Amino acid sequence: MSNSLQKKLFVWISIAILAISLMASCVSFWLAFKQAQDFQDDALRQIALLVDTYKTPLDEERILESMKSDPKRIVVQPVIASPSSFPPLLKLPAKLASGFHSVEIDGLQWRVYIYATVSGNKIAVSQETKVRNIMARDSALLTLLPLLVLIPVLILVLRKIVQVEMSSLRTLAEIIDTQEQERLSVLPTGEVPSEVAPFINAINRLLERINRMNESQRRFIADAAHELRSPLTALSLQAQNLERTGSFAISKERFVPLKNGLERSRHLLNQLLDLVRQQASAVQPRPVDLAKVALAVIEEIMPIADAKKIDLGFSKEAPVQIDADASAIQLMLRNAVDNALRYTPEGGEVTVRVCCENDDAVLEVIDNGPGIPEAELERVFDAFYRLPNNTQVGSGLGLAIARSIADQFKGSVSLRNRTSGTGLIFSYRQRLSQTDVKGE
Amino acid sequence: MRILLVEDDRMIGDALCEALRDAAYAVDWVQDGETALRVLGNSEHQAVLLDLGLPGRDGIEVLKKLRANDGTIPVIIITARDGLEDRVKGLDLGADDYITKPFDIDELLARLRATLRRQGGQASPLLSNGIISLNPATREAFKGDSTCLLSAREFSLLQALLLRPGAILNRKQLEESIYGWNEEVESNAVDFLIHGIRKKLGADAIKNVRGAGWMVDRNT
Repeated sequence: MSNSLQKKLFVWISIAILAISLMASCVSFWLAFKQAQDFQDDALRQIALLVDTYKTPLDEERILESMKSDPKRIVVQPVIASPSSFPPLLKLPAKLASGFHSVEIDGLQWRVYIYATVSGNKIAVSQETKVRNIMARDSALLTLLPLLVLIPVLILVLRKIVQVEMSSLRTLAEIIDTQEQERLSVLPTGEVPSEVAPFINAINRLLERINRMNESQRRFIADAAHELRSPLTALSLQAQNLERTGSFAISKERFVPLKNGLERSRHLLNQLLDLVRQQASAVQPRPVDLAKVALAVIEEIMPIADAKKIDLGFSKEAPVQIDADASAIQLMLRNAVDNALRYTPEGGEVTVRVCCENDDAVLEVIDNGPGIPEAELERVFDAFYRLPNNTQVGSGLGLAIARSIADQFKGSVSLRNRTSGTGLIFSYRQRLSQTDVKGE
Repeated sequence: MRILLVEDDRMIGDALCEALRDAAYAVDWVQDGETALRVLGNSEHQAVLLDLGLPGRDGIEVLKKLRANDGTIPVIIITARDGLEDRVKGLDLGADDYITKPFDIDELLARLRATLRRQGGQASPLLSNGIISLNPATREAFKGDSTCLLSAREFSLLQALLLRPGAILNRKQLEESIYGWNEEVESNAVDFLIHGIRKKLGADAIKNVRGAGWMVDRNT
């Protein structure tokens, strides 16, 4: 059978109706048949009573004649002890008691009623069983007639009802089919049956999620296009500026911004690739020693700190191990330290701190730069978002990468301003690894 | 010819300033909308190159405010937003032209020249007072049958004079049309440049009005 709910409903209900009406027909046929037989018995009895009451002479000749003309008729005859004086029309067995009997006479079944008259004689009222049965059956069959006519009507009505009720589902399907891919609109819940409503609501929630995802993806692509254009614009201008110069000295001078432009493009592309890679990757978490990662990042980034005369330090308060991916955590920390160095003025101080709080591992980068306005602390995690008046060259992707990594390992990243003095604290938290860390 | 560049990206701003100076424009560069509006209030500039994505007041707002204050200075929008809607909106708000990043500097310069020409009610690419003609695209000057190539600053100076034939421009006005804010003005630069132009085009190309300044003849 096909998987159509409408067809299934229709077929199964039809089968049920047919089965039940078949049973009902059998019962009602049997009851009607029995009742008809009761009426026939009663008729035999009434006849006996009438014969007795009016003392109808039972003329043998006439009885014989009428029996020949109508074999179905009811035969009334006296029951006489000696058959010789009044030869019986039907050869009834002797010694039948008063009441109803079914007897076989000359190979035929007969229904016989024996009645004792007031005068002490007995009368037998008989009818052939086969005739009786045919009549009873015919009348019982008549009682089935309304049922047989109504069943097809009922099935047709049922079919219509199911179709009408299912049409609201078909309408929904049509709405889904004709959705624009750009913006999926929510399905109407007003017309649908209450049983289907939870399903529609779930679909609507899904549509909402898809819409949000589409929207953020569209924004990301638009932002990425914009961000990719800027360094490209600078590069093309720089290259043309270089091309125009006649003198070698000016060429050399103009080569510097071109190289910076290339570096900026390279950095942006790397960051974009990092972000996409992080969002797409699904690595198996392994134990990561945060102190080791921190030291690796500090080593790597020390030359930049030195160049800016920033005191880059490390503080480890406990051995801390989490389940993550070392290279991803390193990438996140490098972005955080890179930001701290970028925004901390010359001669400032940046500290990478590793510690435990309750069951959480905490990795922090603390600087003494200008901090970020409270209202912007959350927004700076958006891809490409940059603070107004930010003059530093950057892709605006570092924190988005950090958040993407945090999401991957069910950790959390946040920024907060220092309460004592100015400065910003980048903080990553994740549940401590369940495997024991060896103390040093 | 003095241009105001409004662009928040440092790298692009640097490169664009350099390119515009190479093309003999005096360029001033600001990085946000607020400053741009303040500077435009002084009406020192002949054209604005306006980026749309600015911190604080964005370019569209600057344009709206500028036109609301009856500013008629030509504005060319330079932006990475390339949606049709953005372009239409920019032009409808009173921008004279629109160019999307990344662009070729030659195209920007051509559009700038065309915009300035339209501003002067001119259809011909040549700037002329009937005696001297100047081709802004090639920096060539024509007088009679002779043709000569001017240096960037000579061109700027002659262009300033040819934009308003018959008007007397003093030393300060001429200097402003040659130098941007951050450029050091060399003393006697104006005399030196005029000397150079006269040598190429004849002594009567630029007239000196003693005590007032310099002018080129009005078209007769």
